[in-house]
Amino acid sequence: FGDKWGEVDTRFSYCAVHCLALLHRLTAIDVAKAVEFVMKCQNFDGGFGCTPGAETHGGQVFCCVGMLAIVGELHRVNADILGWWLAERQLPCGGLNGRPQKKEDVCYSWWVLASLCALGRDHWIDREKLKSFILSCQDTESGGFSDRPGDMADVFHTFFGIGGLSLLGFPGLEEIDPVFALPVRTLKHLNILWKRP
Amino acid sequence: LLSLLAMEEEDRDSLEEEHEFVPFRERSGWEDVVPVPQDDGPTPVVPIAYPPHFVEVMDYFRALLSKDERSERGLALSEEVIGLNAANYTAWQFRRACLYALNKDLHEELKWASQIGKENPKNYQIWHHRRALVEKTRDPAQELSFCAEMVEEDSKNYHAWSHRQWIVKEFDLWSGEVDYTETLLEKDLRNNSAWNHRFYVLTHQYPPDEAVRKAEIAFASRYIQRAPNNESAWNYLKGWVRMAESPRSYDTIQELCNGVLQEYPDCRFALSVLVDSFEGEHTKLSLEKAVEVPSSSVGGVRAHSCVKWNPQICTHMAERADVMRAKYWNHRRQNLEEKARVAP
Repeated sequence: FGDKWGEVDTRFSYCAVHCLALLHRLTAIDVAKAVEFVMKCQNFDGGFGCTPGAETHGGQVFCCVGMLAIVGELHRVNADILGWWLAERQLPCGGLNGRPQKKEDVCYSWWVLASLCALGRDHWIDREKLKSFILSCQDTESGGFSDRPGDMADVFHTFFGIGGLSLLGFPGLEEIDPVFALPVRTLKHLNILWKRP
Repeated sequence: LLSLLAMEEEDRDSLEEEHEFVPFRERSGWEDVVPVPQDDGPTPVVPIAYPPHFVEVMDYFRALLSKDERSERGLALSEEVIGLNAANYTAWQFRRACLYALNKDLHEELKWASQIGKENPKNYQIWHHRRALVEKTRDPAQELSFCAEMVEEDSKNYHAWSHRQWIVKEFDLWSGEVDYTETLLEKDLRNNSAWNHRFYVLTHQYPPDEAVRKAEIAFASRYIQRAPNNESAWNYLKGWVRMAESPRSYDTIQELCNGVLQEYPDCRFALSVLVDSFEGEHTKLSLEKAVEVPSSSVGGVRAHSCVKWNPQICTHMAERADVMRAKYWNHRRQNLEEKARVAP
């Protein structure tokens, strides 16, 4: 998937089917071909990159898992192998990284955790440790979340921090859907669902 | 002055921009253009508080866009818009339209793109611009060295590696790539991007044969022996191991793992791959033996005792070597015990 001006990336695969699902218009595209492209982006480690052969990356995994879930093709993914790669993103500090041997970043508490939830493997990480990590990323003065403890907070990381906490069942938060990144309540209202294989 | 110093860097830059900004009414050659304001609709949600100079530049940009005016002033304006927001993909698209319509020297444009790319190494639009230009020029001469330069700055820049992959495939520049990955791994054997590129080059050019597979397993093993806790090298190894279709001998893999475990008995990667190899060997190894409960419990699982007690390794991982992922290891153990029960 790309735009008509040529940029191709599995991020767009996700965005496109997400929008189409919300509009109840998934039939507007050739779903089989779109799935074919996403599957071409599956790598030797079971993960996904932005284009065929590109390095497996937490954010891209989220997009591909999400895309496949939305169109009902998540069964094509080996949930044990990918789930394991995702589980290995957890570092001793409890936070998650997006690729092997990179630093933890609260946004992966969304990308990686949501992917694990979609695959039904979120219990494979230490959820308590992740929860503590996310909370440690909150700036006690401004209230927002930063990528890791001590850095400056921003809206991006705040969204993903809160999203992650919701997936972890943090009390007082709306339940968020790991595939659509929308409140479960909203999806029910719009009569949109995806099925776990 | 003090309040200026107390400001955030971003706000200071913005003020400076504002200060240097020349309003369009003071610019010659713009008299005919009627600026087009942004239409946020009747009830905008969270409207952005743009600084005045930003608003004016965008109003004039919208005016040219609506006329699809691909001109010199359009080109200049696109640069100004990009200066205000380098992620404005509409500006980049419009810029390209102007460049092509005016038949501009795309090699010169690439030089400019390199400059601005170095300042914004993770900007998607700049990398795409680069690719679009090279698609036109069909000249990849500078590309690999540009990518190498960017990787020199940030060895894992996802865009740089992605672009490199495209260049190599599109222009058939495979030779030298394998050696390039080795050069980078010598600098940093934990560079996951370099490991991935190596796999890419060896598998995307032509289907790899058994000789390549064996050689790469040996390659990964050498790096593993140098630094056993290198996740990337182990993943790379597993990638090649998984690839084989015919029943394979796991001896070399087990030898590698046990070798590592002699020195690092709690190396979770070695233990994990050992479990994988036993599971893979399913038909060869008697799984009944694998389920045997050891008479003495060991603090650290010794290398020679690993060989038979597959599910025991899982318990060891859950309780000691990889506690964070305990639930995964319990799942693994259950799985293996189940397989042992139904083993022929």
